Amino acid sequence: MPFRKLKNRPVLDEKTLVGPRALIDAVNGYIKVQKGKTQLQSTPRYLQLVVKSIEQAIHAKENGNFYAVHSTEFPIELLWPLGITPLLNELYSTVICLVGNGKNRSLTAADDTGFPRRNDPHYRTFYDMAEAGTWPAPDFVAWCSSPCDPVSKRPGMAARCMEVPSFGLDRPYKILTPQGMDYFVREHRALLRFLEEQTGREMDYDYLKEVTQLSFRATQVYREINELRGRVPCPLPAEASFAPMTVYGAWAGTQTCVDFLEQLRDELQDRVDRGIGAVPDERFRCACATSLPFLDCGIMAQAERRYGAVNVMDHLQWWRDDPDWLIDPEDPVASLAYRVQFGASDALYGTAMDYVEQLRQAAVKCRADGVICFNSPGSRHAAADCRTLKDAIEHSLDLPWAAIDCDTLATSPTSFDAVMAELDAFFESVEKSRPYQERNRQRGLRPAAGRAMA
Amino acid sequence: MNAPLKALLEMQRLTTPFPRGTAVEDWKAVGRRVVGFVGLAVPEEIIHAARMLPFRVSADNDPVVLREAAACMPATTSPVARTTLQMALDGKYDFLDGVVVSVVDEGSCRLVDSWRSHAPRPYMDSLSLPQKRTEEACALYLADLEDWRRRMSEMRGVYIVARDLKRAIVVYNRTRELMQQLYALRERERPPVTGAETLEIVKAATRMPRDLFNALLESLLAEIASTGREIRKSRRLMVVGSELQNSTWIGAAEDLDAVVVTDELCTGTRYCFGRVDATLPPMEALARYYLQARAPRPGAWSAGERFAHIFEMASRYKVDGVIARIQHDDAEYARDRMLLQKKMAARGIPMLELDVEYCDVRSAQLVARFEAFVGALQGRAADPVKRDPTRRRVDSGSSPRTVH
Repeated sequence: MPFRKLKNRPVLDEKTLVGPRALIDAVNGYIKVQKGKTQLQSTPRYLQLVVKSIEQAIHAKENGNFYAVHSTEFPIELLWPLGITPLLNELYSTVICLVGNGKNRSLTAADDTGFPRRNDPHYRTFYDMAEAGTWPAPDFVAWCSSPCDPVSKRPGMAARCMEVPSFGLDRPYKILTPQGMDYFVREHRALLRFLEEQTGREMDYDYLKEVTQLSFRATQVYREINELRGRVPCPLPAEASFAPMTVYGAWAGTQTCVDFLEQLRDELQDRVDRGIGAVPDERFRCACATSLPFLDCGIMAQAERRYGAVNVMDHLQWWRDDPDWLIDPEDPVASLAYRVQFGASDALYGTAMDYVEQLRQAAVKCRADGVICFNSPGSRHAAADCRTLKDAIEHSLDLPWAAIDCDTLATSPTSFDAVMAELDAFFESVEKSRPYQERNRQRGLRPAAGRAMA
Repeated sequence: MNAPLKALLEMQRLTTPFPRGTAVEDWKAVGRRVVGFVGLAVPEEIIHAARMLPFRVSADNDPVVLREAAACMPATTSPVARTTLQMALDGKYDFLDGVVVSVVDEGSCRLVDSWRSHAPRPYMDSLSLPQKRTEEACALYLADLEDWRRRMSEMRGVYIVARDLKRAIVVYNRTRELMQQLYALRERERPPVTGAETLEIVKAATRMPRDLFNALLESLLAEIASTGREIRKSRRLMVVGSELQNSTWIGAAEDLDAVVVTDELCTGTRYCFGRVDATLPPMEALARYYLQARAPRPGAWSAGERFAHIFEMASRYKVDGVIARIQHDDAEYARDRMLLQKKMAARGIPMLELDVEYCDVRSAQLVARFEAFVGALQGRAADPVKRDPTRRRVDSGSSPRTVH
């Protein structure tokens, strides 16, 4: 049985699914259907920014700009001053799957070409649309070694399929060594040379400094949002779980991004001040070891209704304690290398020790009652660490843990009902756990709802 | 029927039982330490210079049943990582005083994490290889190697000096020289060794003291020269793809009228071709060899270089067919495979693609695939058009005519 979709999601004709225009229409249709029904004003706004990002990319040439496809963990800030419009490959492929009602032809095409099925579906979608010639052709492809993609050289091959140039940023595995950072900064400078060559334009460093400052400002606001997510009750509903990540991924370095994140933060702050939570009676606070599954936001929405459960943090959105990546405002390129290296979810790429520590901090600071790992087998970095994370979290924090296998985009090996059954068992175990009962006693003594706990 | 090679029998005697063989026992009996390494990003010379025995961590000719490792790592994780972890959990590698893992993909990245969590050895470390092979990447790898040299020195209690590194380079370059002599003999129309024997030799190199191995390899070459040994098979094969440790797997193909004459394997040409430049400062020389001089692994961002190595081997060894073994879900090889097949077809070299597990054993199904492939190669031998794709048949009705 496929995952159940959000109500009122428009069903697309499979044949038109991969076209950008149809895609935009579908998301716009969804926004229209949801009008007035969302808890946050920021929810439709972030979806509008998704549409705008795609539209901007596919119309870039008409506006005298270039258009580049890029991966996650990539410094899009370098693109704006050169008149290059970015399109995040994961954003586009995610939206295709989200509006596709599980009938994602691009994933079927991936199977046809022999690409191993158990790889990250974002990338299977991207590569195979590239091979099939259905991805909106960019001027070039630029990417960075990504924990999501086990075949980090493949964006280059996708570029060859689309007959466009490409550049890959080689991100060191050991991210915290001086030589690793030195190398990564050099890689960023090489990327900049590539971009200048491709566009025939020289970087305007004053403009880049402004962009970098805006990106840094967005990071600060993003962290404030994360801090608000950790309040009791959690003010962020599942409908907007992906909002900060999506907008930051597509718009970092722009005033648009800062404005959106500030609007979201203010909305959340207002709810915190008024003691409004994502659910009326918050019972369980969950942290995700990776992320909620993109395939179906209905899972967490259902968890909100059925259990009074809230998602207080996804690891993909967790920033380190000290992400002050703007190391030198006069050297924006080097600073951006630090931004990419120390960005949200960066720990996925390094050692498990770092990953465990980041997840532990997120669970503590957001006051999680338990951790759920929506374990996408194709996301191999995270999947292969699931046991190590579980042991560490249970050992150090005594928090209950659930691992639920489900592909983030593709038709899942686990049905919606099976997921809910696993969540049933999980929340039951949370309820019986000693730390949960202890915390509940403390919560009985806490100040008025909406205040941070001591 | 050729007699078994005496030197190879001695290598096998010294390296059995696997993994803790006689040579390892002898080494440890006098209080010396053994450091296991996983993958090819770890310069064995540095372990050798630390007066320790480098031992390549791997499976062998027998299957490994995955139990606890399957609970730690899902089926999508690299089979090499899962198998290695299972062996570690089974206590097979308890004799290791230390482990260094090459981090080259997500599987090896998580192997070191899980091994450290569930069955740690006294010393555990990792080394990563940059994806690029540029000068900047070499500088990063060199700096990482220098860091690792310091950590190894601390483990040893004495700093690893340049003089010892240079000596180690001489020893390991001698292996490369001898292995390349052996490979050169396989260029002959009737090679003196089979692919299965060659794999056993390469495995022995990484499981016993290197000086001893070199002496045995010299004996083996002398034995070949004195006996005039030759393998009389009509079809010449090449094996490419994922890590292969099981020589009975190659043996299944060589029981037919075919012999494996070369490879593109990390237990073959990618391990022993090229040489470390002994005129450079030793650490720089090692960094350049391991990152830049070896044939690239499939994950490196230079598919063209990998293919160039494969085509050079195919041409030099005059192969009739290629066997591509791709472990399940090995995305890097799988994606290359599609392109490689096209390029091989353009060269008129058929390619047999096999989805395999790391520890696949010789099975009836495997033999059937090999039989069909070798049979097809023999059929091609009788057809000049199929043998040479530049000759195209223009009239299929009468006797074949060709145009160039």
